[in-house]
Amino acid sequence: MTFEIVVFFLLASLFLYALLGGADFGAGILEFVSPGGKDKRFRELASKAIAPVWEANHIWLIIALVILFYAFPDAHVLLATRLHLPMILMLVGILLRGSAFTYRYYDVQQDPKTFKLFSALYHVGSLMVPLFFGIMLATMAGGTMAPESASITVADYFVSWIRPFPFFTGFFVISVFAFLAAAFLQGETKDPDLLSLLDKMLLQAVLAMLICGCLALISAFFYAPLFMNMVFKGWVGPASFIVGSALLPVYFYLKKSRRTWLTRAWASSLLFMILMGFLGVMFPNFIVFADGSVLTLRSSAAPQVVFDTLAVALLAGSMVMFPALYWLLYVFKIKQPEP
Amino acid sequence: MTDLLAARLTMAISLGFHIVLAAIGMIMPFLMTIAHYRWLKNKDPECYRLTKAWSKGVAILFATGAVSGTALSFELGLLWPGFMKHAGPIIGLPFSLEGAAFFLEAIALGLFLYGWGKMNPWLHWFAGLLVGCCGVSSGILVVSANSWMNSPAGFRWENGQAFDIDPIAAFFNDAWLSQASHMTFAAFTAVGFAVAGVHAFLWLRGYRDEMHRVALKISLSIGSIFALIMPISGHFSAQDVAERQPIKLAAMEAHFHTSTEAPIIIGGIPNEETMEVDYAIEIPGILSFLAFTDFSAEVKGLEEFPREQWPPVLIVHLAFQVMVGIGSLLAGVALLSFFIMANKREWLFEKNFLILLALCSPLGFIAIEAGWIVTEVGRQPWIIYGIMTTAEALTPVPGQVYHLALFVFLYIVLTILTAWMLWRQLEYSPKMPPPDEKTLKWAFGESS
Repeated sequence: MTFEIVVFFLLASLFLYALLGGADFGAGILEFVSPGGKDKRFRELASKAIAPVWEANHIWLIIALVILFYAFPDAHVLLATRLHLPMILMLVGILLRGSAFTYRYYDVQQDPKTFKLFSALYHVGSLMVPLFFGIMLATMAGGTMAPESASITVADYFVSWIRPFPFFTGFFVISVFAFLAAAFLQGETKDPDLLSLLDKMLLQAVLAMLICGCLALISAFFYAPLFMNMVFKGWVGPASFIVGSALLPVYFYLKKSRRTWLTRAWASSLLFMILMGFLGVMFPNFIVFADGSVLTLRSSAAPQVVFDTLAVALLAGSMVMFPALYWLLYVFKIKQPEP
Repeated sequence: MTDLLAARLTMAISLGFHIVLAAIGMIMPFLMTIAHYRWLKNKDPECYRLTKAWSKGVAILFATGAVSGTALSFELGLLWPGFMKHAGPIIGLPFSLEGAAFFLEAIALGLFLYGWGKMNPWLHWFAGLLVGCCGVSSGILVVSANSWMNSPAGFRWENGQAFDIDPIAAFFNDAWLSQASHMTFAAFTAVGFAVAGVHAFLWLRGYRDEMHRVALKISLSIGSIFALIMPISGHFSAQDVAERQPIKLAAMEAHFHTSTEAPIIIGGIPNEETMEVDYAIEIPGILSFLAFTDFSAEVKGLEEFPREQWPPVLIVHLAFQVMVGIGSLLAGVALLSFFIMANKREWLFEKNFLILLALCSPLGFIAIEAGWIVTEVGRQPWIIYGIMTTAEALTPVPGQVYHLALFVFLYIVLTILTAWMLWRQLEYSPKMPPPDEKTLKWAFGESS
């Protein structure tokens, strides 16, 4: 029982990080990639929206990481060694995004040179995190890592993830985060110009999502056959693909109504389907190795006492964390902002 | 450079960078809360301006601290998988509680920084207080993981495997209380003096703003109170180390030969080859007294232990001397400050006293860094004292020197940018506006 509670919290924090943290990264991505991102009003809207919440949103990643290394030490150690480089690069992205965003937001003197520097660092960070996050997930699933017992050469630290499938998955995650940002920001403004700008961005992001998603699947078909086998083995993968594809057009229909929270929830459900699809395909595997052997969460689990203590800590912690999160969102996102 | 040395240096700079920001993130909220309280109580606009000015600095430092703390949690696995594989399930509990405290802290900070005019003014004040309480709690929780490395508990070690894991016993390990309290008091001292020094410096530079007067009084009082607690806390920490890690104490004191009436050594360059300390002042009996409350107690010297278990004596001894020296100096300045505040208020803004405070500004942080060098280098060659060596914990991934180079570069850039941003905030501070009509109406209602 406590095992299931811990796994639930691990997946929930991963989902919340991708959803809330993802939307924050998406704002940086849109600013850099979308032509409309150069617009000063968009930048100010996005910065104002993420400033009070990005630190709290970021902590879901720490919680997922801590659950991983406390309860699933073997899985954590394998990631930290085999995916050493993408993990370091994701960390560099985290350092750059968080600090550069804050410097830029708080800079009192606003000269163009400093602004350019901080923006560049902020953009690079915003792109690096989802890219390497996606690369890590796809490498865990792709069946390209040398098996656990194999002797590892220097090349193994590169060849498992410098491949088409992980990179296209990384691009896909980038476009999903951009989509979330564009969808969430819709509720932050009533300015018709900004809203039409956000509509454009939303379309761009959806287009990018479709293209990158297809490319990731095609590359998996050619370069990650073990993953493709898993996709067509069960019904969860194809089913969530179909449901996800069906949700998307409905989103555009709903968006017309401008009902902020309904459309936001709908956009979130899209991410949920993507993640469910991925996890459903992977279940119960955590890492699939090149020879077809697997590491599951169950097989890398720490002793029972760890799950008992962690489950209690997580349940007790969530009694504080979720009301606190609601308080934060209530003050800045739900309560009508003053005119 | 070996991978081991590169990995140790990467960890050291990551921790050394983060600890400064962590200490500021823990303590500044309390200083802000005091100024904020005085504004809400007395409607003193200077206190409002000060709260706003401090909170801008805190926002910048907290963000950098949040990401550098993330770096540490990543580095644990990236650099020391051998350690995390076994230690993760034993000491994960304080980390997960720390995660929750950190989460709450980030939420409270968001509410405090951006909640002006958006919520009940006293609830808003409370959010600021909550930032500090959660910050100190996460600091205390995470030190439990470090103190466990010094006094491992809650498992049985057999053939390189941990059995009978008890996370609760590991959590409440023997060194936790002394280490956590020492670190917390140190953070109050260092931040109090650092902030007082900055405002003294600004005053000297001609920023004769009433806001700085308030700031100096608040920060100097906090710093001074804790600077006087520090020597007591340090004494208990040393007794704890004497009992549990006699080899670390011997290295700290450069105490090579076991002796009764052991002397305390002030200054000096320990020589591991000759097992002598050159150019040192020795005061007999004091070390025995400090470690065991008995002038004639026997204190074990390094000679009792095999050479390969010695930590680098020179580094540990020098770092220890720096820490104790600064601690004593700040305690002296604290006494002087209290004397001035009680009897000679007009001296508080005398040029010479302000110069003294400005010079003391970085000292607390230097002492904190030195203290971490003592505890971390002093534990070498072990990562888990007596159980696992640092070399055994090292990642198998080669080329750690590139990892080191990348992070040295990154942290230098972040240090420069952070310092520069703070400087720009300071230059702007005289222009910090008093509360406007809307804010006054929000805080004090229609009457004002």
